[in-house]
Amino acid sequence: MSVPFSLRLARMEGRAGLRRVGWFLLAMALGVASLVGLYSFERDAAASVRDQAKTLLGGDLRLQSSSPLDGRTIEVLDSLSATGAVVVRGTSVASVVFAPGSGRARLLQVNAVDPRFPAVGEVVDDPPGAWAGLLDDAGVVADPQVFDQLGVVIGDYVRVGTLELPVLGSVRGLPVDFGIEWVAGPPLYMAIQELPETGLTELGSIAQYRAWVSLPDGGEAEDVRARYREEFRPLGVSIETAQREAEGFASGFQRLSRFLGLVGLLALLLGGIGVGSAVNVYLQERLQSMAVLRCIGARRGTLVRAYLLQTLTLGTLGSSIGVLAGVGIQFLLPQLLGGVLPFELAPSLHPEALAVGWLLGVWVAFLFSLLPLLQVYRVSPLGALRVEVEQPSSPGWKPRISVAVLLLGSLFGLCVFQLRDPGQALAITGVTAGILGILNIVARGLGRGARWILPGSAPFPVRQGISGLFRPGNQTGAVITALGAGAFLMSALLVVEAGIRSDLVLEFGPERPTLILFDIQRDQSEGVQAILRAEGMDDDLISIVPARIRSVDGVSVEEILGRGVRRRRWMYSRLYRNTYRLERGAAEEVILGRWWDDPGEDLPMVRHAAESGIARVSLEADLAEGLGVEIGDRIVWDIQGVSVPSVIASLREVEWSSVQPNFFAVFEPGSLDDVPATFVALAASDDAGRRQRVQDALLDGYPNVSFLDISLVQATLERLTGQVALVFRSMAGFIMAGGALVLFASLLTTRFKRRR
Amino acid sequence: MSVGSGESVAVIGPSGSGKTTLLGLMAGLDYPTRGEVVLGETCLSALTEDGRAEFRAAHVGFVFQTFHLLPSLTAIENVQVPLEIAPSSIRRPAPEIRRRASELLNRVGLGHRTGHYPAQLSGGEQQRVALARAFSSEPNILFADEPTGNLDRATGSRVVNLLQELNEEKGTTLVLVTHDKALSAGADRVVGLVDGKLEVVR
Repeated sequence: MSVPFSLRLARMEGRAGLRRVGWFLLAMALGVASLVGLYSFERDAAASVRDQAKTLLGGDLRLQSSSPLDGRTIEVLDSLSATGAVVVRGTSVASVVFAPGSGRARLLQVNAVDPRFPAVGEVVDDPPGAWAGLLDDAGVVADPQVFDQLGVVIGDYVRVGTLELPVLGSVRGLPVDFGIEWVAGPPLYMAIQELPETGLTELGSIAQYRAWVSLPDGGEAEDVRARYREEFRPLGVSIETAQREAEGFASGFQRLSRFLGLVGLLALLLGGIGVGSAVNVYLQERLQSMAVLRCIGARRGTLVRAYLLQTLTLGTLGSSIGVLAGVGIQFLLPQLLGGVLPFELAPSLHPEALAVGWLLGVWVAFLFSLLPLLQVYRVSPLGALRVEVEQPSSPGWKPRISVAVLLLGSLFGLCVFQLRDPGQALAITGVTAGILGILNIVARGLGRGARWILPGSAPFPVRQGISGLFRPGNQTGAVITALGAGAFLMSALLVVEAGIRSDLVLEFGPERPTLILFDIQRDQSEGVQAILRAEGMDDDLISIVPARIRSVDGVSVEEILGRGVRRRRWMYSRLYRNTYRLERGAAEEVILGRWWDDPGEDLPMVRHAAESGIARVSLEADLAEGLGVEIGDRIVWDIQGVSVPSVIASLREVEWSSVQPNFFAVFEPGSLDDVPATFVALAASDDAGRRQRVQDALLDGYPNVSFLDISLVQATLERLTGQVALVFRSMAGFIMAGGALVLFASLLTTRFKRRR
Repeated sequence: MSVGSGESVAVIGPSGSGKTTLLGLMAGLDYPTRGEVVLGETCLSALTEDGRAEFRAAHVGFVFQTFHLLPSLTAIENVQVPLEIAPSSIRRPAPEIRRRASELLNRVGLGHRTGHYPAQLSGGEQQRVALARAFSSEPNILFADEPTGNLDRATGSRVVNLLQELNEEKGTTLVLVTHDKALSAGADRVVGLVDGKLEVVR
């Protein structure tokens, strides 16, 4: 058959003309590279998290509660122990640790652990033996960052609560608690039997009580979780498996990678447009040769196959270069993200990621070459005799529409593959098609407009320059599309990046707090207020009342959950931190009902309930929707064993990213005076000396009161957003480089064409 | 108009008289609006586009005024093309294709230029490669469109001699469109085209 000739022709033709397509190829390779890099990175992250899941969690299972583990939970732990499981317990408290030597104080996560901690993984301590010393009650061991933050060296003493202990060394490789670490700072470890002496837990600091379980071989963590989850829920004990934790992480990375992968895909399309444009110019130059071949007997299919083969060779080459570069990116990404990643990332080659990227590249090159290739099919043999008149006839609407449908269908398919969401994929396909359509119209308009406005009297260089926009073989379309689509992609990327950054940045009100004090006990409130006043700071205290929902409109939570509520179960079972106050917060707005301080009257059902001594409460609107409650409905709260009935008087919208303390449920003042509560103070002072004096006074008089210097949290967040920005900008850089390459290659092509 | 087997016919006429149109019709490159073209036993009008291409590959050779060698192929590769695109039923094995192309290049005096690209050859040399290409598939009929139109007199006359020699050697039917009196003088028959109408000149 004629395939061998197609092959030979493709080879013979290709060696002469493909060199000039190289730049377009590179633009496409960039797209493939970004995809391969991201796909590989996603798999690396998932594999690393899976491998390290147990180490990250600290065992096969982790039980956690905000109150000391109760008898039943300990019974279960003992029974697991009896089956050969290793059970390790510990308590974490976010607390200010003071270094008398340096005079510095920092909020740290203080982890008090038992001698067998961690249940899995290796402890890397420096100097070796420091960890063993800790377990012998001899002092504390800290994350390496703590040394800088507190200004201490090994052998110095630190004050944890009311207890002073020596620093024995540093430690790495222990289970991580990311949520705490990002806010409360790096961890510090001490022996669990020392904890009571610090006074931290007795004085009401917010502590997390944990147990890690490492099951004997063959033990199914998921089975254990399923067996006890429901039983533990009302006890306030959550149970998590390493597997689920790993999946959570992996899916987080998957989401990031999918979004960036979409950008990579669109960058690849940009390269595809370049390739299509290059193939078009390349084929235009060969129309004469094709006509001669048709004249001397080549069938149409033979020619199409020959030039298709060349195009696929192009795609293959570009994709292969892209795959190689992508592997480079894969190894570079962990460096870019260093510090954000909570685990060790071990890059390895993932053949399926390479294959997917490679195939995408070849497919995109094929797709974008189809339209130009249609003209090969229509080359007339008469062109060999009459060069001037025998241009191939236009492919006609049917094939054009078919190609367009195939292109958009492929784009849609690729987006679904990338995002796993047909709705989003459809939207992106629509927007992309619209933008490409607009750019195409602009390009045509520019060409026609230039021809129309070009004055015949203009100097030669001007005429020559502007006529380049509409001359045969011009690259106006490719250049405009590359620039326009590139600019669109970049701006979309930067908007999303800005969105992510704003989510991560704390919003400060006009009274920008610089120091947050929490865990202030009721009997400490006056003393703490006096300290704040002495330094000229605002002494308002905000109450925090931990509570759980006991019943909604007379139906108990157990019964509601027993009915098989699937969505938002957490809303019924979580521990809420409520407050009571007279005035609304700065970051909330009442959208329904009446705030007690507002003029007017409550609805009758609210008024009647209030008159009968039931506390009015204002709920956050989304929570109310999730619980399916409205104004006038009643919720009974369990506040440390005491039932407190309430009636919903208003619904609020809350700006959660605000630094103001925000609450799901706010009670009217006076309604919770007798229940256990702690207090928070937001102090504002730009004077570091005043802030330091407040901290010193608190350390002396109220060691259980924790404080957070916001500037430190800001620094952490800025580091984090900086790294996210770096990743986004790298992607933007890829797109810009791709667009620039298409532009550059287009200019080279037109220049070459004119030289001919 | 009818041309006998082995006969050589020159078509002459002024520019725009329809010579190239006639050539395109006779070679099956174009469809007639009326009438029909029969080459040998085959009525070209009855064939599809690809059917006519196959027919040309098997039975027809071409020589063009501007040579029309494929610029990215060497001289020998250009000569091989008709042999390689021939229908599979008559295609020769690859070594024979190569040997045959080489022989033909030797025959037109370019045995030492087989690996050269068209751009590296003079006009006369290019037309000689084109002659070798036209005869490589041993066509029954050869169409030549102003084969000397782009050559100087001396080179043109060498190419004319070569064309006639090859034509006689292979016994090919020859239809040539030309302004060149020397070329038309060598033909068995000369027809003229005036305003689209054929008239016998000789």
